[in-house]
Amino acid sequence: MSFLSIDRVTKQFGIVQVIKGVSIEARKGEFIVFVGPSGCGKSTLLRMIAGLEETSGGTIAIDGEDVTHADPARRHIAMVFQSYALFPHLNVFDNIAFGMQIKKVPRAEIRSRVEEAARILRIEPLLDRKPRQLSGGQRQRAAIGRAIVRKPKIFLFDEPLSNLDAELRTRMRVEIARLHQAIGATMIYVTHDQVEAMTLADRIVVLRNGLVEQTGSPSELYDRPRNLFVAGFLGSPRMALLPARVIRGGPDQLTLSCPACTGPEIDVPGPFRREVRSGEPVTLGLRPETLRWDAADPMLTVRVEITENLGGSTLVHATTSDHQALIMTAAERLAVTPGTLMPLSFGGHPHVFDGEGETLRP
Amino acid sequence: MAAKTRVVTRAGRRRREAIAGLLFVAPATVGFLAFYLLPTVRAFQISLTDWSLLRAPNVVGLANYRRMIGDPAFWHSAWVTLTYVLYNIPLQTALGLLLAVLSDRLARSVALRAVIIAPYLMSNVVAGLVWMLLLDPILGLTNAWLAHVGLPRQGFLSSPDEAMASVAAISIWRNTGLTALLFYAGLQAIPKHLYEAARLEGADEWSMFRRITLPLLRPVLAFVLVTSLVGSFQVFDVIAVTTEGGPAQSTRAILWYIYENAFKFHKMGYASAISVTLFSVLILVTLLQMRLLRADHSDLD
Repeated sequence: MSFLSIDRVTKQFGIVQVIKGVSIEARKGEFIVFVGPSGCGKSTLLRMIAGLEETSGGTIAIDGEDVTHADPARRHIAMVFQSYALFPHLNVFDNIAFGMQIKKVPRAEIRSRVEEAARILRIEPLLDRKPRQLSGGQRQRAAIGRAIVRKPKIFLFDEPLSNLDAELRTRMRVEIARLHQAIGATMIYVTHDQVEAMTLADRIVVLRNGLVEQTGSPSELYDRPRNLFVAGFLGSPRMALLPARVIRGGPDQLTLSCPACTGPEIDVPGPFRREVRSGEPVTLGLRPETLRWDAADPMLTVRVEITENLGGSTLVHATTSDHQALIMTAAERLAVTPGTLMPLSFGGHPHVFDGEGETLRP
Repeated sequence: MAAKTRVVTRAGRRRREAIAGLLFVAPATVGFLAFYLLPTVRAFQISLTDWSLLRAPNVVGLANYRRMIGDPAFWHSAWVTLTYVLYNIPLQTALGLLLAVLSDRLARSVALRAVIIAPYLMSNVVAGLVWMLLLDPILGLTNAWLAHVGLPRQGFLSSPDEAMASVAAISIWRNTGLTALLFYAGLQAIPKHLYEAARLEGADEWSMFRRITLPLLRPVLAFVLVTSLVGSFQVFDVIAVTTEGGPAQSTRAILWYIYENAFKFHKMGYASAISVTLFSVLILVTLLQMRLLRADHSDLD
């Protein structure tokens, strides 16, 4: 029994269809992240759940109740906006209490609920400040405070961290994860940042051009991306993608020729989703952390362009012999000068995508 | 040597910039000095004399002011002006706000805004003349329409009881568009996310207006109130075109009374004394309003 059920919804702006039939189910207490490049429709979808955008087709149900065309206030949801949308003329207390004051909740109850939210978010000393007197992170907390006092069925977050600087973003990310653990509410979170998606989500929904590309847990999406788009979008640094051609197909093993590779052919162990014909063009996908410096039995040789020493690890930016960009994450500190030719091999089962960009892995 | 040259050029540049700046403000400054400051100072000087335009003025001290305090016609004109202000300001502000909010929340149409602002593009004199014809008790269209819906004929501008209200109505008709446009501009500065957040919290249109729009519109509201209040106290041209202070002095507003004293009765000294008094009162009212509305302070970033 799903708590939030989105069934084949569409959204039409004039003649442009921005959501082209999306179905998503969320369990109670689940943390779902919508991720995708800008313009993929993720924010529109969130606003449709909130009721801020009219739904053109399909249905949205929350807790078993069809709310497709219900007024936003009747959906029992709370939303945290990218801009925080705090009322600038009200102090933090009144911002958090806004909805309760409108519903004429008794003063004593308002006070106790606001104070409880402030305690959870550690903004008690800030309650009588105006938003302009707060830092970005404090504003964010106040906005979350306004959401939690409502005790909503679902929390909606619309890119809540993108106005914060990098360090604060990391801290607030942890706070949001902690908040989810503490109150156990169902949360839908929109971001274009794949790190936020990977770290926060129970389940990620990858959207592109108004369609769901893939849904799954962060590990599922990382380990078994269904297509090139998901493979390239999730994971930082990005997966290296090398064009190749099938020499011999087989159920357990593919023999490929790839221009970037050292030898004339390489073997990729199975299993595969389907029979692969020889001559088919494919793309080999290599995660940065699966690449190893291997002078003994190299599979490809790359030219180092730049190395980034991150302290605990090193990022090596390189190009292959056929000018494909490739990034390798080395756990150790590598001292290689730009221009060095570096022999690499890859461990594990590399990703293989067919000519349509679909994965050949099961 | 090089450093010294640079210092010299920097100082020179600063002086050139200062000269350019002075040149830019010069036209406005000359206008202000010649047409505002100088007449104000002169008016104050004249108010202390018995100048009649014909004979050389004699200094009479505060006699004109003393006379003003004991002049029932002056107090009558002050009262008439105040009624005009009381008709004008609340209605014009409320109507302007209503039009602005409606056109912001419902129909963001440029054509609609153009229609709303259209009356303001007409001069007061033209508006006054047009409405004088429309409100004519015998030949006017307004009475024809009233008769059509079965209402009795009204005197409008020719009735002592209705004349001031009619003058106010003409001004409201002409000025509401500008007020609405100013409010509309102010509304554009309020982020739309605030309304979305409020809707999620269960606020209806009225509570959004009361709790979000109105407080965030305060600086614009202050500007509108100050300018329209000052403008209302100076009502003159519509009266000059339509009623000339009549009937039975029912529209003899302060500015009209000043005009009569100055150019009909040739009592320049007395007219100046009333002018100076009006000026002082308006400055006080403006300061008070700015203070009460915290006009210099906005909650929006």
